[in-house]
Amino acid sequence: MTSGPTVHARPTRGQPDAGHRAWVEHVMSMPVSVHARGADARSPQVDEAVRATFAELHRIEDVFSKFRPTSEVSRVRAGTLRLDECSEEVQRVHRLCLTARERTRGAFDAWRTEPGGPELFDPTGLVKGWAVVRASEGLAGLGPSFAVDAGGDIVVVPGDAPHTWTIAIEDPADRTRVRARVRVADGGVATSGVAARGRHITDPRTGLAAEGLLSATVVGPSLLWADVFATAVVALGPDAVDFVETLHGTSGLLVRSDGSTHTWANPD
Amino acid sequence: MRKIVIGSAATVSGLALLLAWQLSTNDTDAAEAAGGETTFVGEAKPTDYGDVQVQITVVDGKITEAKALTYPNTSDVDKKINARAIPVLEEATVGSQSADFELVSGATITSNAYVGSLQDALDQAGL
Repeated sequence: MTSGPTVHARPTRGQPDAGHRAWVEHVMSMPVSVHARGADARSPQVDEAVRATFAELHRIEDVFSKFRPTSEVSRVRAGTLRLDECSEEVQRVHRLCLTARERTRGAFDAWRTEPGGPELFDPTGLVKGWAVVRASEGLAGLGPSFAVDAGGDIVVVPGDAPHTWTIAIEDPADRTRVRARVRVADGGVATSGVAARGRHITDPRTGLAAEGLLSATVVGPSLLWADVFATAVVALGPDAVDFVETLHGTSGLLVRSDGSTHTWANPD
Repeated sequence: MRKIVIGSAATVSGLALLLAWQLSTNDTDAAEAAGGETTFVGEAKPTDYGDVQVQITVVDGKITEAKALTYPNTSDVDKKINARAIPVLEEATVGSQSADFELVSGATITSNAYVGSLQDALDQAGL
């Protein structure tokens, strides 16, 4: 083991809190953590369900990763697999990508994800939210409230005992600071930005890298759609102020390149 | 202390840790640190570009700071990438254990080694 001079690996006297538990794993190229709050947070059933959640994320990654040559999505992109030959879940995601492009008026486009790149089917930007929502479904009905944090996008699964999660929104201009907080008992919180590593968002309308917004946070009942909308909003740039008014049942925060912000909260 | 292998699910317990000892070595500091401020350094985890090592500071059983002591900087490009990537993880880590907020939403973060070293530090802290 390699360690610095100030390691203090000593046993602790305190007892862990029975109502809190967290798990962390690296999957889909990002850290994913699951957090439980409630009296049964340490039950074997909860542990088993969380492991199943991670297993499902790994399984989905095998099917949808464009970085794995044998995945269905990679074979579709290579032209060696037709869409109608794909599994039902790939076809479902394909339909969701079509819906997302229509709903965002082209600002989210799974066929135009790289500036100047080929127009190949790339569902990565939608699959993340879809996968986390799907994998989290098994956490319902176990007692505790769960929050699943997938690389900064968060889905909350309510439990028997009500728990409201306090979620901070980072300041994209200074990531050691918090820009806002939001309290969520059910639903999703997604933040997209232009500066994060490996997350360059293209404006499909121009084919150029999006600019004008540092980040967009969307809070809504569905993490899948919150994530799609957050990505679309960053692609739209400053034009997004009008667009977010059409997102019924959501709230959110835009941080512009000059540091100014725009917030909204639209009723259903 | 549990040995955590990257990619395996690992348990991190919650907020109510009572620290058994204090870092301070003189009386004045010890009095101020009645809550006990302690740092834990995670095992260094290798990446293709170099090691990543994370340190957390714990006060009253809560993480008050998390920072990377070591991260790859083998080229200007790597420095640029990590200058962006590492602080995000620090902020999320502090947030996930803080009384003021439980989780942090931000632009997508990626660092396999960071997660491994962080997990090691959390295990040492008993969090």
